[in-house]
Amino acid sequence: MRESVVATIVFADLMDSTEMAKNLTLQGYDDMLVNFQSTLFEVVSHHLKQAGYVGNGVDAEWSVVGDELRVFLYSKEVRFDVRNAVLIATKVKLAWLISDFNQRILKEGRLVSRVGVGINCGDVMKGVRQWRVRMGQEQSNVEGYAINLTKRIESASREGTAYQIMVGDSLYRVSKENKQLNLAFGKPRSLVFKGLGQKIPVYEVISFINFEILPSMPESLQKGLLAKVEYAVNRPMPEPWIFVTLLRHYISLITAGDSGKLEGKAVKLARQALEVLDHNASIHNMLAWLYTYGKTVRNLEMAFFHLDQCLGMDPTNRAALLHRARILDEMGQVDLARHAYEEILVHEHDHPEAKKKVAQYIGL
Amino acid sequence: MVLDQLLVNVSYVDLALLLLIIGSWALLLRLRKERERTAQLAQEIAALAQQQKDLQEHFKQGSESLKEALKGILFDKTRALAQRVTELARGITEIRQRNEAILAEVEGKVEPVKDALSDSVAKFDASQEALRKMIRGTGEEVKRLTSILNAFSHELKQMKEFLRERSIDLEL
Repeated sequence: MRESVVATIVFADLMDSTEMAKNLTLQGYDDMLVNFQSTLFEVVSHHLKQAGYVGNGVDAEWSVVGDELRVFLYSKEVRFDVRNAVLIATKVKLAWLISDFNQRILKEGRLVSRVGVGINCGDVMKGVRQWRVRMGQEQSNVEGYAINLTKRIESASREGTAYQIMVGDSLYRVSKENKQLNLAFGKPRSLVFKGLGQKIPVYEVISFINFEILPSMPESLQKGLLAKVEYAVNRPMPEPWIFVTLLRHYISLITAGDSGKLEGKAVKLARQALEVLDHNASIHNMLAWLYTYGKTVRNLEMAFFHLDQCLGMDPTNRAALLHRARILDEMGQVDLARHAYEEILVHEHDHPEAKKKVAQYIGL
Repeated sequence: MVLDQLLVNVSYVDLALLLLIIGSWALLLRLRKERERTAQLAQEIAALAQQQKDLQEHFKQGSESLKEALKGILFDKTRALAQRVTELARGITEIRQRNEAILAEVEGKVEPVKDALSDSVAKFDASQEALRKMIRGTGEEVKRLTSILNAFSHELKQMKEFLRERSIDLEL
């Protein structure tokens, strides 16, 4: 049976794999490929199971061919699929970073092998092809323009400077509507892709704040995970996205009660990130959070400074507006705090905390 | 002196002949005695054989008499015994018949009681089994519910943490 479904499509492959194939021996290249494919299998199968996907063509399917991963998510909940697609993309990148292959490269002080990702949403046709059935392969086939487009978007990932996860306009719109998805994108790039005949806007993920990335990695990859990420971030020219992921993890550990040295470590890492990243609004926000809620590094003035920095780059940043309002409230700056909360309500009419606070100020 | 004179005039041959004659005479006497004794023994043996024969005859006669006597005694005794056995068997049959009648009568009265008892026992067994099942089932149910509650509690804890972390996500 053939049917049309809205799918979120993920394409991921090794960057410069042809170059590597030239430089490595056949055996060496195959070893790397086996390592990469095993990593993909571990991450994707584990994540889909964890997220509750049935798979096998019911609500998701995926495959690995050579160094390319293809994931199709069509659970009928596009926002859910988008969130899982971005999580899979980040986890794949993280898993490959800590793989044996890349750990060897890191120790040698060379640039690690990176994974480029393209994600997009769109209508596709899903169905089982008769010729496949005759071959004894009853898995469904997914076809459609959205797939070709995603493949093109993925090919643009090597031009990225932050996450090297590129998304299409459909996914960008879904993400903007979904306030639960803390995704930030760079400025759109209009690219002309071969065979598509027109300029297509492509966005790069420049920040993806999600607490689940590290703790929900497969158990087989958990051993020494944090240490490996910390090692990678401290090597020359680290991948920019690691800073955001690692800082978010530190904040999780701090809120779970593991403060002390970790707060200082997190501040140091955030300062390092400010020097490395082009788009650092989220890093300013994280620094402000550490200075506001940290026990050993608490400094409201510094927090205020970083919030201002963040708002200078992104004046509508909800998180920065909220923290600024809270700090002003704590400092007893009633008028400024009220103004800050009212500013939040301009962007988000139903913000519960802002509504409550403004009501309180009016009652004073 | 005579003997001395005789001995002087007798030669050794004469003496040897004399000794031989005396020996033969003694032997003859002995043989005669032996023959007489043998004849006496043969007579005694013959007498004994006759006595034995008589005894055998007597014994044979005695045994026949005894046999006849015993036969009579036994016949009398067994006949009386047979009569008594017949009487006994008749008594036993009567008793058995009486017992059967009693048993039949008892059976007729006991059967309803037995049925009632069987029914009660079955009911008791069933209720006991049901109770056992209920207890076991309740135990398993409690275990299952505990497990669900534990899982639920764990889930709630995870959800709580998830919400906390998610709020932090949104505030960063």
